[in-house]
Amino acid sequence: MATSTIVERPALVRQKRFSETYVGQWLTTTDHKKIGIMYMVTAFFFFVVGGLEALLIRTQLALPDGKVLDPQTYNEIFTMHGTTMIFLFVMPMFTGLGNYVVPLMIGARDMAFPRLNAFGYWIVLFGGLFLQSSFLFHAAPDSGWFAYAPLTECGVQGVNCIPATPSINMDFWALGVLLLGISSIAGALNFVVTIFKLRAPGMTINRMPLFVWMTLVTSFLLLFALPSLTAASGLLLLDRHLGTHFYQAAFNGDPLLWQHLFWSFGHPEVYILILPAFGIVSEVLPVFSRKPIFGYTFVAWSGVAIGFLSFTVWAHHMFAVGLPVVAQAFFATSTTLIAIPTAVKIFNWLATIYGGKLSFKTPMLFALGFVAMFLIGGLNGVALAIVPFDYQVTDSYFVIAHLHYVLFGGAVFAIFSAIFYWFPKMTGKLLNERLGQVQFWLMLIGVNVTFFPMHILGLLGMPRRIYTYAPDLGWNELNLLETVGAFIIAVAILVFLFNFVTSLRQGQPAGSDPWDAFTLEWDTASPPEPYNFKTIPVVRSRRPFYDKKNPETADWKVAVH
Amino acid sequence: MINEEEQKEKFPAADPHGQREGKEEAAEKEAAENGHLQKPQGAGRGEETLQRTAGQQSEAEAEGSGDRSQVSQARQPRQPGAKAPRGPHASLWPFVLALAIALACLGVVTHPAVLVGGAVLIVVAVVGWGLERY
Repeated sequence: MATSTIVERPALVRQKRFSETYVGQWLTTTDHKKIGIMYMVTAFFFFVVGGLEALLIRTQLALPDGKVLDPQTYNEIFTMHGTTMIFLFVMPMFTGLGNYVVPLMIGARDMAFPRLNAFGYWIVLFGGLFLQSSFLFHAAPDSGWFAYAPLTECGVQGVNCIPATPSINMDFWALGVLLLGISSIAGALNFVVTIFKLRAPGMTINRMPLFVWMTLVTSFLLLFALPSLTAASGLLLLDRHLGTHFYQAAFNGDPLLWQHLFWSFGHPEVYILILPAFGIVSEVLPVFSRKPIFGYTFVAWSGVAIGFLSFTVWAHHMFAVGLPVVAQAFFATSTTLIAIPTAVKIFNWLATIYGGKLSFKTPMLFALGFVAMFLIGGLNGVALAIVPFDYQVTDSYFVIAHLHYVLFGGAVFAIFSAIFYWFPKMTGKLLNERLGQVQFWLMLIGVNVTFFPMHILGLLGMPRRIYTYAPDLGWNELNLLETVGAFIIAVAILVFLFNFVTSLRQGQPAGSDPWDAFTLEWDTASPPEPYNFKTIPVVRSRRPFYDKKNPETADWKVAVH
Repeated sequence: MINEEEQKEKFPAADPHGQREGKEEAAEKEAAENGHLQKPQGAGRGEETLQRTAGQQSEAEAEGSGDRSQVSQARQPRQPGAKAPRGPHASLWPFVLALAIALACLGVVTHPAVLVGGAVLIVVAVVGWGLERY
């Protein structure tokens, strides 16, 4: 009997690379979809941080003579609230949405510069942590989110700051903003090149989805507006540490230089925060109205007009500093003028839903909520463009009401519309519709209860950033009401978080196209494969996926595109 | 597999006028040269994006998506020997560089040693990123 020996060979097992481990996949990813998700999760984390800061502010102001926070901590909290919400929530959130959606919408496999894209995300994360770490050093920025010099020149040490050593509070702010600026520039550059160079065949500029249009305009705004902030912050650091006096009147500097530099960034910034929201609403309303967008060309080019005009309005933030009358007239006119392209958009949205088969799903509700809330914010913005009125309410709670209607009623509603709309694409699951509707109504009530009374308080003379107030000024009830509203918003956010977690675990499967949508991102699996499209689609109209699903009534057959 | 005539009727060719726009053709050619456009061999224009096989249909139905198109390109069965397009390569250097810059900034406000550490790490990250091979 023959015997045989079986020789066991060691199995060839390849060692996993770091980039193949779970943690490594996220740390080393250059996939625009993963980067987009990381942006959004990070931004939402900072939204919660900024929201908690808002609750602290409202708790402090709920009753007269409040002592919940000490004055220094209060200054730090409201400064970090504004800084966090603007630089660490709204901006990264839109960058994240753009990262995820734009390449899919234009039929590209990824962003033009994937590593630069990853770098942009990581610098946001570390820049955000850097800013928030100032609390650990008991040195959080404390001079307001627009950091007016010369208040920011010296910190707590002395009037002229020479030779005093400034505290580090505003160093955290200036450096943090510089870091976040690097990220924004990287992201904007990437979007511009991606949109210009990586569009699918047939997707001409005039066939691009409107969210892509608005992302493009926003990217140009970032590229042209951010250098001003970078210069302002750089000069501030020089003043604080190297003895220059750019902003100190006592040494022949000019404090208004800061305001000009800051607001020539700061007002385009407002449109940087709202134009992507316009894009989202321009995508959501047609899908849930079962109609193409009304006046595509006008909606697209009014965004471009807003972008241009946004560079001509900055000094309306400075009417009260004593500008020459001609300058006041110019900036009042240009500010009023910008209402025209904005109104063009609103009328086109209304015309889009007019006569449509409306479906009031959560994304649609938030989009409609956006239109209503932004309209209020826009109208009181026009009021603020009237110079004599601005004199009366400058730096009062009226201004706070305006900016919150624009940024919360506007940008945040659009963000939730986008989350509910694209969550199925990102995860393959639907968010719970009932919880979404509960969240929407809570937020709509909360926003109006919180921010509408601020108009009245502003007219009654309540200054912004006030630490506390005497009980006999007639502000008590409205402040208490606002605090109640803030907590209603907080409940709405808790409902969303619950919805998010439960839907992620056991949400209803979404399929690849749950909304019967029109644009290319829905022509991929949910979630899409790493390479997005196995073959790059060929585009023939503004609604390529609609065409594909409805070849008999395809847009290119029945309409001129 | 639907036959060619049926497909023409169901999914009209990408160009309704019977001829391709020169611009689109050029763009497609450019995309193919850059590796952005990969057509399976033998597939006609638009065919690979619009074809639907019985297998795919049942797959989409099984998903119960209610999706009217059910022609997701990413779910198409691969042609024998065809490779899935690759995404960009992973890299740790963007993470390291961002960390290094933030560390350097932290050094500016805290201690010079942290600044030096951050600066060294910036150099390492820039060099590493530049020399990375794919």
